[in-house]
Amino acid sequence: MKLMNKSSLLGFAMIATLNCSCAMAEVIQEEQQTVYTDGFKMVDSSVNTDANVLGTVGEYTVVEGTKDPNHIAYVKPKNNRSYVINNTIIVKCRSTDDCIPAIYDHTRIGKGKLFKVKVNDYTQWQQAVEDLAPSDSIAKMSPSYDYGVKMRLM
Amino acid sequence: MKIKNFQNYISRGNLKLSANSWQKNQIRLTPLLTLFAVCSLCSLSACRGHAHFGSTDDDASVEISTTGDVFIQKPYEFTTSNVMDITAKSGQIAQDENDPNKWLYYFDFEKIKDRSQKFPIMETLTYTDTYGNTKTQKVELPLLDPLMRYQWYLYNNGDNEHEKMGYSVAPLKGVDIRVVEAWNMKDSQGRNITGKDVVVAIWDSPVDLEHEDLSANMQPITVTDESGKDYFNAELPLSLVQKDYTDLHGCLVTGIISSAGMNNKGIRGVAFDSKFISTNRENYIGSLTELVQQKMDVINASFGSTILIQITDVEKILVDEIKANRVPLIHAMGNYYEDVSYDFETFKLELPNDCLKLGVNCDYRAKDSLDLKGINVGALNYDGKRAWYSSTGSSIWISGIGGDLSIVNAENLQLVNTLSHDPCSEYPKEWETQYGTIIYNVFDDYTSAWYSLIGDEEHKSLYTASMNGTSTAGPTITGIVALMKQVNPDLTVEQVKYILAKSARNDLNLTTMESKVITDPDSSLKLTSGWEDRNDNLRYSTDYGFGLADAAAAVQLTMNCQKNENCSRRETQPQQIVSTSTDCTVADNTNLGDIHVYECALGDFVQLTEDGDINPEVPFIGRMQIEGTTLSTPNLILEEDEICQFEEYYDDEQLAEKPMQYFGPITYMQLNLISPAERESIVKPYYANWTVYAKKPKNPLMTITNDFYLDEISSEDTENWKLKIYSKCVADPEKLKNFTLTIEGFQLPNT
Repeated sequence: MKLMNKSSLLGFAMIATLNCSCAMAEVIQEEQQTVYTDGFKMVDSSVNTDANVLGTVGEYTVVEGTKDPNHIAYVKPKNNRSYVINNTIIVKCRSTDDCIPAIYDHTRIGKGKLFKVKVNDYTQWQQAVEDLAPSDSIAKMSPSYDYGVKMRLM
Repeated sequence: MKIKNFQNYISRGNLKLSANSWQKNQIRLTPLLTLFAVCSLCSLSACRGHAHFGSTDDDASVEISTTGDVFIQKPYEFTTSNVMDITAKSGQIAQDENDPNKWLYYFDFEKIKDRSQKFPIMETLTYTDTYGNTKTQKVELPLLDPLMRYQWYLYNNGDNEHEKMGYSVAPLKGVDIRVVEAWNMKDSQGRNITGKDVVVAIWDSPVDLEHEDLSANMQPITVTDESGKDYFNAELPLSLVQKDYTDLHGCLVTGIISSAGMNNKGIRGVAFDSKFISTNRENYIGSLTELVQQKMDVINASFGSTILIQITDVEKILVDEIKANRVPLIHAMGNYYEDVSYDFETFKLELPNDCLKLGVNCDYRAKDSLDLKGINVGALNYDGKRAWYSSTGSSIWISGIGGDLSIVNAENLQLVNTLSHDPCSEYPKEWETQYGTIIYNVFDDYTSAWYSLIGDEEHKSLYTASMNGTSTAGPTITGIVALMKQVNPDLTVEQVKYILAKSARNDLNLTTMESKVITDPDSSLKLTSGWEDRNDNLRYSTDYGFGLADAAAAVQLTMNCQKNENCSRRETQPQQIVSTSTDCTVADNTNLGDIHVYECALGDFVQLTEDGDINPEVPFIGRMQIEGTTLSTPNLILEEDEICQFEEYYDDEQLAEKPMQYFGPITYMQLNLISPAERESIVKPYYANWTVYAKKPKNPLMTITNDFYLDEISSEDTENWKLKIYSKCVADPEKLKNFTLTIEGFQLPNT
């Protein structure tokens, strides 16, 4: 995903809330995408719901509601697929030494070079993605996204 | 124990016994057989099948005191009274040195090995009592897993009492995974190879942890934080499991692999001493992240996506980590061979069906990280042929046994039989879920003859004879890998793949495995290649992979891996090289009708770092034995085909109405990859529908082919790799230059 840098975010950000009787969605309107940072919920598209529909993610519908604790934001790009940002970022260090800054809540995955970084909100997520970009100590950094594709049993 | 009242044992099924069938000093053949039959069927409640010969305390008597096992050569113990000598017609029986009233009986294992032994297993004992009288009695040998007689995929004698189950067609004798032979081998500690000390991760829907045949093999899980528990099924009671509308799929899968064995209950798993952890695949990345952290030896993933979802970076990292941890991921290939529609909850998409007319695969498999990184398993049927539904393609590695789908043809009343068994708690016919009231009839054998064999009402719901699919085939392979891992827990994924391939039965061993060369009648384009020879005496087919897995041969090769050059070579991780130059031109399309042909030369290979980054300063030099090949396709090829095909299926108005992001099929396009040695692989067949999201993908589309396995390449090869693109659409060769080829392999010494 192409990361919106901070300056463009500040330049185009507009935070709004939508009125409804359920959990309110918090929205950041950017030039190329709309980002919901709270008040959204993924539901199976086959389920009838009275909730206000915000959009779709793959085979799921996104409605206003209480956010899944593992979700950070719902992103609707203008010209591409929507997706949900999960609250974990996977980082591979170049060695088995812990390469993650201490300010981030993180745990080692297994016994090797992989770490799971947990973030709490969209702002922290954006900062983490910048801070954890590949470097001398960091080999790979990968945010976790949900594109709403259902896995089917065989 | 002497049985004095038959009525105590007549409690189940259709078997009836008259109250007067027992007479003093007279041993009746029929009621005794009936008694044994009832006891073997009712051993769901741990009945040990006691049999008694003799009528009074003064008479000689011979009775089974401990049930043995004919498959693992565990002796039956007979307790005798007033018996001087016993001989057995088929097996071997000998008196215990320390206890003259105890006899150990071993069944003739040769009858198991040659698959000639039918069920019920009868033995004729001749014994001499203390008075010198000689008597002959027939004994039915009960099974420690009473339903194993029906598990033709484990032991196929060409009958397996299929008619009792209500099926008219018998399985073809010998079409099984030869696991019985594997069970009789011994590991370095002298233990039978049954999956001991092995942990299998069931990545699926929740498993019924209370099931009588599964609960003993459940492995406790550990998670690093509370949220991780969301992805594992550690405490789920049956009532919540039943709310999962996926028909307890995970339960069915688990049973094939890890159902407890020799416990007087139900069936026997392929690796019946293995432990399992149950994880919910609903949140794909979340559960994958947690899986990476678990101690496990093999993962079973009997699921996949039907739409190409592209491999995200996080998936690559996690799946690579699992592989680096030496954990094979066994993946069901898919059941979409004849599938030309995608049925979503909100709309249905019809796809081109030329594939059906030609009898070729309709669904292109290369959808997600499981397809690309897993060991893909196709399904064989009871007749030794590819099951009609089983998806094919160059990503397939091996075949397991999937059975057939139960289809009732109203015209000729033929049943396409499902003869596989799995323990599964039957869902109620109707139950409440978050989606409302659901009524399921998928497993309809509760109305069939099968259920009459099970016994009491409580146990009827625990077993089915209707499980099938590549979902089933995958677990048969997972079970075999679990056996291999008992022998050597440190096997790398590459070693597991090699052993499975090398030990498999191909069309030369099992001639029923047909794989044809099919050519497009309109264009003379070859659509499938049939069986072909490979190095190291292997054979490969995109219908079967390297063939039907053979548990015994696989375990044997695992034991001898160090003595095998190709196996021992795979103890280290392969290196990767990637092409850095792609030159595409329009190619000759003579005899191909209106199909356009483009040819790309892929060359200038350089090495990838351990982290998968291109290192342009380190060219590939030397010789390499190929482990795998991956083709990365540029986004633009999709755009071209989308323009050509997509608009035929949707107009703007239809697209606007779609509640989900629409996607389109890439159909009339074929990708052939040709090595410098001129071996040609059909990577993406012309008529196979490749469903992708129509909007521009973020990551390149990845495809793999196993066609070049064990081939050798050299940096001195004068010919480049070639990619031939056959397409109904016109493409701009300049826009095709983003294709890249990644080859994984093992460095060979220079000749």
